[in-house]
Amino acid sequence: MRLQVVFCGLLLAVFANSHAEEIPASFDWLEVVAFAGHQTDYSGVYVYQYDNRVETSSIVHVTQVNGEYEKLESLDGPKREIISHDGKVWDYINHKMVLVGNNVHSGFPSLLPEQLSSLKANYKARMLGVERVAGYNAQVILFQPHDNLRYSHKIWVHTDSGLLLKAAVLGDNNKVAEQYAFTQLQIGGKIDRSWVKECDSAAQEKNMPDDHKDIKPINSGWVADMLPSGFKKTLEIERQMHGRHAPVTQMVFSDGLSSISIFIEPNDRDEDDEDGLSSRGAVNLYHKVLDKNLITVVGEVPPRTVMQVLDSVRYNGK
Amino acid sequence: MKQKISVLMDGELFEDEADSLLGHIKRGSDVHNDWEIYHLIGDVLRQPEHIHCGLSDKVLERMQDEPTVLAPRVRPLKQRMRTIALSAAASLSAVGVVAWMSLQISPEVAPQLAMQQTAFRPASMQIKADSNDYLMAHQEFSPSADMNGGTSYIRTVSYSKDAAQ
Amino acid sequence: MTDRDVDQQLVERVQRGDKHAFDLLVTKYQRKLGRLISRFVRDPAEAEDVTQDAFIKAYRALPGFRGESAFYTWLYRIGINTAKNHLLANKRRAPTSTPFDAEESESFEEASLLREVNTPENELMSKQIVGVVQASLQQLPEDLRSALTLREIEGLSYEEIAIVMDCPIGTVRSRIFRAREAVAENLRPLLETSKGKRW
Repeated sequence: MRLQVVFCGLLLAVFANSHAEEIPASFDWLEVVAFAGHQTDYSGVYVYQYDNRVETSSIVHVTQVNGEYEKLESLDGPKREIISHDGKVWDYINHKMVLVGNNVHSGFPSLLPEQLSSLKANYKARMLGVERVAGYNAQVILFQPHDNLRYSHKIWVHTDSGLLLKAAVLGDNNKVAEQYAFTQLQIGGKIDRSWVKECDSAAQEKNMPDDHKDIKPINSGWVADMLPSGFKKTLEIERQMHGRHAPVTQMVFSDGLSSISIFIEPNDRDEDDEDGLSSRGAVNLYHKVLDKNLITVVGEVPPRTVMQVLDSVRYNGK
Repeated sequence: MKQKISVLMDGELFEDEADSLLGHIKRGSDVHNDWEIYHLIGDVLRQPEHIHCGLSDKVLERMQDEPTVLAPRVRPLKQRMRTIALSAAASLSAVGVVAWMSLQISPEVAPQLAMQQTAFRPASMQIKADSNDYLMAHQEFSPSADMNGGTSYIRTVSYSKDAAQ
Repeated sequence: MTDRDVDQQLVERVQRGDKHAFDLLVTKYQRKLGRLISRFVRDPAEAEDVTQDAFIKAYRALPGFRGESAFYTWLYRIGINTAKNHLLANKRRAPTSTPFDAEESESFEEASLLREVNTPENELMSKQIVGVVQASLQQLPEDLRSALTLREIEGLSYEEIAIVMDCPIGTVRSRIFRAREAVAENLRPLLETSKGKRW
């Protein structure tokens, strides 16, 4: 029997005469939200909007003894079902499971302390009251960066379970870069788990996309001077990527909430050398050829930032 | 024995070994002291403020007066199964990621729900399918996925769809 | 297995009547839960009482815990619930005027340090413990320090650390243990002198 706890509703009432911001729990909410997302059984329908597109899908998330299972299904457009467990992702087509992704480090139950302290240094959190989402009360919290080199993030958290009900990434003038929201949600209760068995039998198989072999940490000698303040390097690896002969260097930088990847590889494409900026929702991508290398910068940051970062990439090694 | 405590607390002992060791850690024993002090070290590393804490002694005292709680066994009896170690081809990640996959639909389909939200940023040049690899590789290490509830930031997944084909 | 699974195992032991297992959980989470509750209950002595209450409540409620969430999440919620009830019972209101503007305050840790008044003795002890740990860390050989940091701060598993440090898992296990034990050796005498308690 899960204990129902009203996180903030009553507390807000108690502190009614003072400012909402005095409750210094804003960043704690993220930890609670991260836990709840991993640990709660739920099933619902959500809408994801970005770039004038709208996609509606259903999601089921259950936790079993051996970890989490998720199933997503498209409710509009071409029919598609995806199942994920333990970092692996399968397409579920005609009762056949095809492995399409494999992240080993999934299901991490909480925010890493370093992530949290980075977040606190780079963003200001503001509690914005309570709103209704999908029939539930949600505490609204806004995370604002100190500069306009990254996006603001606004989240709506169910005051009872801690589940994230709605989230938006905001750019200049509070324009929404992408947004997702539940329209229907059942928390706990009877949830069909019959599909979990399919996942377990598929997990026995060994096929893995070749992207995930041969990843190794390195010191590449490449640097980027103009990262926004607060971004720290969290990873520097060399990896194989689909369709390329030479390994690709990937450096990942994060400020606790957004991250930027820089990919560097020998330029053996014979397409035009045009610089390219493109985007999808909150993600922007910019690429350029520098000497004989193709440099690609990807991140959940505004276009000006991926451009600024790429323009500052240089080789500093031997 | 000390090394076993170190491994146990990181969750790196197999379940049957862990279970038998847990039965041996009684208050007042050296083994218990090790459990306490190793956890203290971790706490100091993560957050050095207000470290000194005599709480567990007091709670233990109060627990003497508590009737023993019992609950029926929920999990099936543990078999002597060893979890299979992950293969070396596992990808490395410094932050947790649970990627949500969403699906591409044709732009003509009307939204299911009228969202009278603030105006969306005008669509700029769309990321092309052949850049999907970068998006997926980036997504593996993006903290926002885990930050917002573990399965939140949904990104379109034509990149996964194309990669699979 | 992750350290969450250890929690689950401990919970099951408690549910089978082993009180000592609960003591291990309290030892593990006392600081974390204490910090959480002190965010709602300002007075340190009160906060400590409320934290104790929360642990006892959790112990009593444990038969109803079915592992649908991580133990810590469940404990976390009990902590908040207990703090909330305490505040309501004492009809506390936040001060309407504050010594600083919430908008301008920096990270939460600094703000709480400004407002809390801990006993000088505890504060001193805390500082000494932190000092010893940090000094010991500095003295560690690089590979031991890295292994411990990757485990405790980055939260990587042994397997992942083995990949990062490019060494066998057995070496990771040994490095982390040796790092912990080296720091512990320096800590034990300090903790022993505190209230004559043996650590």
